[in-house]
Parts: sequence; C-alpha cells; structure tokens
Amino acid sequence: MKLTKIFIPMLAMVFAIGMAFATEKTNADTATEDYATKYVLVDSTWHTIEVEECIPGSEQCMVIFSEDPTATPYGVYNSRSLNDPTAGSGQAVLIEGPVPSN
Amino acid sequence: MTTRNTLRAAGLEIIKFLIIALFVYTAITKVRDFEIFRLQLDQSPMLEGLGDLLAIVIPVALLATAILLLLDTSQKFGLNVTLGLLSLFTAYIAIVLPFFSSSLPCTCSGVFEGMSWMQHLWFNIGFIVLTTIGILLAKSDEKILQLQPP
Repeated sequence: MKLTKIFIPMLAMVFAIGMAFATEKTNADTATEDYATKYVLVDSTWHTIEVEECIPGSEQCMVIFSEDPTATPYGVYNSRSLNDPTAGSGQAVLIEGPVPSN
Repeated sequence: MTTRNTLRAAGLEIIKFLIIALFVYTAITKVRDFEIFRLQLDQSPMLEGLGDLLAIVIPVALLATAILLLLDTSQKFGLNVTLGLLSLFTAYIAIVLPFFSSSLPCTCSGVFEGMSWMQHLWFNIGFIVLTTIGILLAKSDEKILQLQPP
C-alpha cells in the first residue's frame, strides 16, 4: 500500500509531462500548417496579415502582435469589411512582429 | 483493512492522480507557451498589468500543489490548497464570463484549447466536487490510521 501511495502520484506526474509534450506542436507541424491571408483594422486602416487557421468556434478570431506593448487584441476579417469577421474561438492568436502601421 | 476502507483509499488515490495530472499538465503547457500565456493574462479583465507576475506565479503554484499531493504527509494540506486554487480560478471565470464573453481571451492550452469558457467553468466545478470528496476521504483515512494499532 505504501508503495502504491508513492507510485500512483508519480505515475500521474510522468503521464502529465508526457501528455504536455505529446500535444506540443513541433516546428515541422507549424511549417506545414496552412497560413491564410486575413485582414485587421488598425487605426481605421485595413492591413493584410498571414494567420494560422483560427480555431473554429462561435466567436470572432482575434490576434495580438508580439511587439505590441499594450497587447491589444484585434478582430480578424476574411475581407476588408466589418461585416465579414473570421469565425474563431475568441482565443487570441499571437502574430510575430509589430502592429501594422500606415 | 475492510473492503470499504480499501475502496476509500483507492478513491483518494484516483482523485490525487487526476489533480496531479491536471496541475502538472497545465503548468507545463503554460511554461511551454509562456509568451502567449503572459499576453493573454495581460489583456484579461481585472488582471491588466499583472501578466508578468501571474504568468510565473500560476505555474509555480500548480507545481507546488502537485508536489504537496505527492507526499503522504502533506496530502491533506495539498487538497485544501487545490480547493482554494480551483475556487479562485472558478470564481474569476464566473465573475468575468457574463460581462466579457465575447472579448475574453481563452488562456486554455494543450488539449483544453478548444474548450469554451462555459465548458471550462463546468470542468472546474467538476474538479472542485472531486477535491471536496478527496478532502472528506483523506479525513476518514486519517481516522482509520489513528484507530489502527501501532
């Protein structure tokens, strides 16, 4: 019984560590993922961005730019129209680089 | 030891297994995606400006709690800390969910990435119930050990 009390929690730790790394996206996975051209509206100007496919959901796809000190989330659109938002989970996708400017 | 006591002990071990697996998995995925987690915390309601601090405190707290549960001597304290942490996370989700559901970024990661905030809320409530059962089982486990002859 004593051995089980140590063994089972240790097994949980090993299982969790294994799972965490098993669900990690490798660089190869990322490289082969489809990137789509989408649009964001920044300071009343439309900008084109390349974004990984947003996780499907009932909310709008959002992006944040890694070099934006305010970490503002921007809504993603399929075209240059506010009536054409890209569906997503509401989870912000991180885009490498600064916020697009004019 | 009676069958009933064996079942109680097994139940407690299963609950500890689930909590340790959840906390270690969550902590590692937060550390793995540290930058995204930090930015998401920074833009979360009521947590603005606390992203740097919380992005470190949360994974450390989760790992420390898992270690407490690992040791037999600290498992009761660990279960109470678990209940506290889960209640805190759940209360936060419950408070901000009705007001910010459309703009609230999900800080879930790994296999929980596809979860909505409502699903996340119910998932946490489920674990609160499990932890409460675990605390009760740990208490009765202690009583049994006290009653056993040395």
